[in-house]
Amino acid sequence: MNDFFIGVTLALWFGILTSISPCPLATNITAISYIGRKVDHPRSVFLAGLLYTLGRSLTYLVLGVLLVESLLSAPHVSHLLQKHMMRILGPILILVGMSLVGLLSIGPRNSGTGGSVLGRVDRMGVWGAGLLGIIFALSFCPTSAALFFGSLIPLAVSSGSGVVYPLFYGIGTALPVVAFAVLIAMGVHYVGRVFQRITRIELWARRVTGVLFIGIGIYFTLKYIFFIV
Amino acid sequence: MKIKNVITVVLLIFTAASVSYLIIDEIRGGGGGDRVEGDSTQGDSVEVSSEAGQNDPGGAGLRIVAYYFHGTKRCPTCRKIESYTEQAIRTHFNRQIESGSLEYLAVNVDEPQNGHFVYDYELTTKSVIIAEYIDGEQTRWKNLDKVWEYVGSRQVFVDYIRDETGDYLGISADE
Repeated sequence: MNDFFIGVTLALWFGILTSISPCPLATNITAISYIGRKVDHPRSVFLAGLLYTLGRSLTYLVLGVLLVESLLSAPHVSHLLQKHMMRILGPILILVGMSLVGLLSIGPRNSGTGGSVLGRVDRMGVWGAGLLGIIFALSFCPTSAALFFGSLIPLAVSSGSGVVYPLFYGIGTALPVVAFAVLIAMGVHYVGRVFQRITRIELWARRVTGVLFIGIGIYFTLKYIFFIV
Repeated sequence: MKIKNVITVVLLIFTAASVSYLIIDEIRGGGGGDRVEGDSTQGDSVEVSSEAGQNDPGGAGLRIVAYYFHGTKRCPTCRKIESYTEQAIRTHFNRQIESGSLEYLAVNVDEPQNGHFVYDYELTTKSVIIAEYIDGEQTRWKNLDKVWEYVGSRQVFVDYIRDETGDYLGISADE
């Protein structure tokens, strides 16, 4: 029981270490902005944070089970994800960012329910946080690969638990991001209410999020596809 | 044409061009594996590139190789690990390097010819491996897996590489 508690604490700590290391900084900024952008709906911010955490945790859980049960080779998976995921991420972020700022229309502009495309993107935004969690969890950089494949998986293998430790690792990777997102959103919400500009601030929050997605997407594309940054 | 439309078109063209380039690059062997990045911080470090067999030391007698394995894209922490490792090896094992019994090699595992190292040494990230060869045959190796833990302190890191290399190989470090 004591060993289990220590293991869980370690897994959580490895996750937090991953999150606060410099290498996932760009994706963390994107996630903070995405989760916290609905400043007028504090419940949505909490829900988005929860789903982002769930997305990350489930991804690590699935990877953990497959690796601990030796269904996948750790070096192979680690090498593959590090090599390819960051390359795919750039174009994905640009397209999502374009949707957020209303530059990209997917399908007809007015659906049967009368909502605009931007409105639809916004409505699925909370669920999008879960998807974002999955994609960012799979985007391993050297530090996160060292901590997940080099520290956490050996710990999970030695204890025979491919479920609990990766789950807590996922929670650890999401904690700082969600905490920052909630704090910023609450702060902006408070300021917005004081100045009675909450709707306008939310519109700008969405635009800033979209621009951040596009900017970081272009940066990732130049860095990981064209190798020129 | 409105500025919004111009931005949309430019971004879509950029994205489409990026995805096309990515697909072509992956089909060609991918990941920028044929690019060997220069590193201004490395001075005279030996960057091993492509030719098959170049990384497997031959020759008679005992030979030790300190490998630093990296990918094409280098992160700041990875560069630090590489720099500290080379510093530790060159500073403390200079005698062995000069005699030819010890060698430091930086290897890009994204190059197709070096991909086998990922499986040979079970590499999950950028790693430092010490390998011992006798008469060209590898007899043992060790992953110095605490490099990520100690990279925050140059002295601790260098001491770790020095101690592990010395202990494991049974050769004394130059003071």
